[in-house]
Amino acid sequence: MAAQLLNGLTEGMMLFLIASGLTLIFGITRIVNFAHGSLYMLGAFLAYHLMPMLGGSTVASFASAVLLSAILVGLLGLVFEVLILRRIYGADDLLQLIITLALVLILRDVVKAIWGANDISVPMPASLSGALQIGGTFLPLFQIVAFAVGLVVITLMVSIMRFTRAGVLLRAATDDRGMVALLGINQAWIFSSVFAVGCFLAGLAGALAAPFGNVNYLLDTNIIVMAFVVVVIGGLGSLSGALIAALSVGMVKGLGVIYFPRLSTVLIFLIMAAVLVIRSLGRGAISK
Amino acid sequence: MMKIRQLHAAYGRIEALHGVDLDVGEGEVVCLVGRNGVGKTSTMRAIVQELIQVTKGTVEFDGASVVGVPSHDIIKRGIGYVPEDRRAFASLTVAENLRVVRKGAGNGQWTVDGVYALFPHLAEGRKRLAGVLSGGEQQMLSIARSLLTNPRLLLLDEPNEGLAPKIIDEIIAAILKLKQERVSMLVSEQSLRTIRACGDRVVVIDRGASVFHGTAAEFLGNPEIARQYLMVSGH
Ligand SMILES: Nc1ncnc2c1ncn2[C@@H]1O[C@H](COP(=O)(O)OP(=O)(O)OP(=O)(O)O)[C@@H](O)[C@H]1O
Ligand SMILES: [Mg+2]
Repeated sequence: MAAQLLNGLTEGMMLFLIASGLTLIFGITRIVNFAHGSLYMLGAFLAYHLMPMLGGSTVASFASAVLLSAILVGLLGLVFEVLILRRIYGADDLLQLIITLALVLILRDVVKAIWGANDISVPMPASLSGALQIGGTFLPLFQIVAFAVGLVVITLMVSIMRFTRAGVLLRAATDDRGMVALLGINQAWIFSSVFAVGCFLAGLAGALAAPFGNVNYLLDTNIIVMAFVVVVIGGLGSLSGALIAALSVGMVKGLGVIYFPRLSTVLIFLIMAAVLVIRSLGRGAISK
Repeated sequence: MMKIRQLHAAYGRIEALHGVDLDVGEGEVVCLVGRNGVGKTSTMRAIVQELIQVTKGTVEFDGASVVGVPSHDIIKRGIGYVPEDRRAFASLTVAENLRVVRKGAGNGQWTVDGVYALFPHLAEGRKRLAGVLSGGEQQMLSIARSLLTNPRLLLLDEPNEGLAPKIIDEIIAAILKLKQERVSMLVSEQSLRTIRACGDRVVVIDRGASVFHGTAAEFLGNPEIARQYLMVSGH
């Protein structure tokens, strides 16, 4: 039971890392980035590629591979934003959808061309592959570490959002980005940095979660669906909402495996539907 | 410092302005008056290039055209804009709203302490969320925020609209103080409050075009104009 709980929490945390980038990007640029799952997948493949080059399966090489992968994915996001997305902010939503979908297809082919179509597996750092005995249960050490890394990222995020001017600007732009421009601030660089940071988070999640399962070129669609579910349940653009939603979805998946193995995915979509209905009822009540 | 000639501007295909002429000189307070929906807000939007597209005519600030210039660059050139609906960042505190503006923007004299001194009301509530402030407080916040960009020309779109008389007095007092500091202003309104208090010149706008230009004294001395274009009875 405790092991399943940790399982769910860790999965929820990884979901939060990817969904937080998605929701942040949407909240500020209004871009729905379908390629976010692809960036997650790319993070996993990059970690796989970089780990041996950085010294094998030690904690240090894993950590640096994860960080480097995340940075590379963030840089890719930056280039994509500056070269392509920047030109289409005012354009039709459909155009944005097509362009981010194009990135999905391109990244999928690139990944297949470089790493092939077969499953690969990213090893856990050797010293983290054991388990921690707490009471009578064994808890996988790597999961605990991954969860802790997530907590560190959240703390960093919250501090940046609360206390720095960059955070103030982000929140202001989420409220009313037009007004931010009318105070003499060039939105272009806010958009670029938000997009880059969002992609960095996707890359980070992909690399960090890579040892949990098999990595292949189909990972993009699997993860993007769950990430969207989290963003929708949490409320588009809301970081705290995404956190609560991600942990809940992770728990439902983690615990569902024991109690209702065949229903856990269905249950998640039911929760999403219920949240949507309740929210629209609430809105109806307010407008009356 | 600002010169507008035969300004035509449109929202998409719908033309809202068809011939506005307007000048604001150094240190001057110009009042832009007219009824509901005649194009006061649209004129201000055309100056900061927001939402509306200039289709004909010229808008110059310090001798350079602003047409097609991104809004944030226009603000950097020294124009401050306080929109009609104030647009305080609702989920930010008062202090955070002020923090949005880059420190030392425009190399002027305005500081956070300076704007708090201008509106002591704001200083008391600096930790409150802008979303829960009263209309008057939001107006003060919006003016304060814009002052931090150190504008040489401030656009105030109906700053007194919907506010209690006591608050209007405070806003007018602030406008007077700004005038003493030689900030040029373009103030739109549907009443005669600002004109009486500190207007130098008046431009009347009707159905998208300017129809009267004159000094405040000329305008106030000719109640017929106010009756025709404003529907106010002199209060
Ligand atoms: N965003 C918009 N899109 C399309 N048309 C608009 C928009 N905003 C205003 N208009 C139209 O432009 C015309 C001028 O409106 P504007 O808001 O400039 O008038 P105003 O003098 O500021 O009025 P008020 O006293 O009500 O603030 C009106 O006919 C209005 O319907
Ligand atoms: Mg108006």
